Amino acid sequence: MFMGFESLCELMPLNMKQLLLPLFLLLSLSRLAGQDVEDPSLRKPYNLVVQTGISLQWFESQYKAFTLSIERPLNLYNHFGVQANFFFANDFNYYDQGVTNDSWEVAFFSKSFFRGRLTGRRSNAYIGPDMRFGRRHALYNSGFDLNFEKRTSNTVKILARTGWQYHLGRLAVLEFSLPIGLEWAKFRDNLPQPPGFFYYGNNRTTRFVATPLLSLGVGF
Amino acid sequence: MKTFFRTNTAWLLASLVFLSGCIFYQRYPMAKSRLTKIEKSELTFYILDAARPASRVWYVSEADFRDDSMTGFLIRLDELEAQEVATIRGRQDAKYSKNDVLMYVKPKFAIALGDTITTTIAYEQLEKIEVHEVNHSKSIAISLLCGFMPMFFFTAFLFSY
Repeated sequence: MFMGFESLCELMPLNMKQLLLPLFLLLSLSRLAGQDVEDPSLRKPYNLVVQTGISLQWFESQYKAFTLSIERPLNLYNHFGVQANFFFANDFNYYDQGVTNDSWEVAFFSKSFFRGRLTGRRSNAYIGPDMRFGRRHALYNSGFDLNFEKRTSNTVKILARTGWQYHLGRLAVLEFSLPIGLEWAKFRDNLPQPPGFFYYGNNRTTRFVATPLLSLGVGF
Repeated sequence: MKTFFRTNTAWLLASLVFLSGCIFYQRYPMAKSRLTKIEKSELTFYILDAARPASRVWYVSEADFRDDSMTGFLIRLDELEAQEVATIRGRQDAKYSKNDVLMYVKPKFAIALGDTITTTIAYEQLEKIEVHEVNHSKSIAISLLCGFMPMFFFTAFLFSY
């Protein structure tokens, strides 16, 4: 049951009343006049965001990569940046292609954050294009004798990048993104095709890829 | 190849129809300074008594916003209409209210307002302003989970062979 303020005061011991009185007086000094919020569209964006994280590449062969990215906000709602991915060596088997740890790729991306139509607030979610160029040193099984050979290919990825970037406090930035798209790989040598089920001839491979990324960094 | 594109187009269309239902609206506070910046042609403005928002609501006609005050012709809504304006019952209701701007005035000021009146309200008299907007983070996350994921794995499956 709701208890009135007078009844509450009657129940309080005298010393508690003396304690609460200055507290209530302090409340009267607090800013009760207006609850106006800051216009989010006038918020100053970061000058630079530097992040590092871990990325996966999915479908068929799976790779893990260490990522390092730098992005520069054009304004509060649009960022562009560069990302370097350094792949970790992974296990390989008959069907899979194992990547060695000297494989890398460079991504050029932009992020367009969604915005509130009336409030002007910047959403945590964004979309944007992502284009990647890289070199993959992979181990292929050249036949049925489990004789693996190292082959090098140039890779190009064209992806649509969706993600969520959270600003934690003044400096910390946490991001999860899910770029999805296509990858084209072209071998740099003219060796015969390695076995496998995803090759389409002319020394080219085309794949549907998703590269989820979890990164943490600073914005300043 | 033709079958591949036909199948994927059908998936894409089906997903788009599905995703149109995955847009979530939410009530957000709006800064008073935004009133002079926003496009007002599609918007409907309401004044609400901050003490009794569900029963004391005015529709603002011919609203004119300046840097520090607004002028308009206020028409008081009956209690049923007031409750409709102030209460959001669900996702669809929030979507239908996306063009409503709810301006909460201080009770001391609201008590002096008549049923129909042309008045000027200084922004100092506004407690807060609320609008309904798309929650993009939630909408995209749910859309990806529910809509795109089946298509995503289906396309991956197609490229695997």
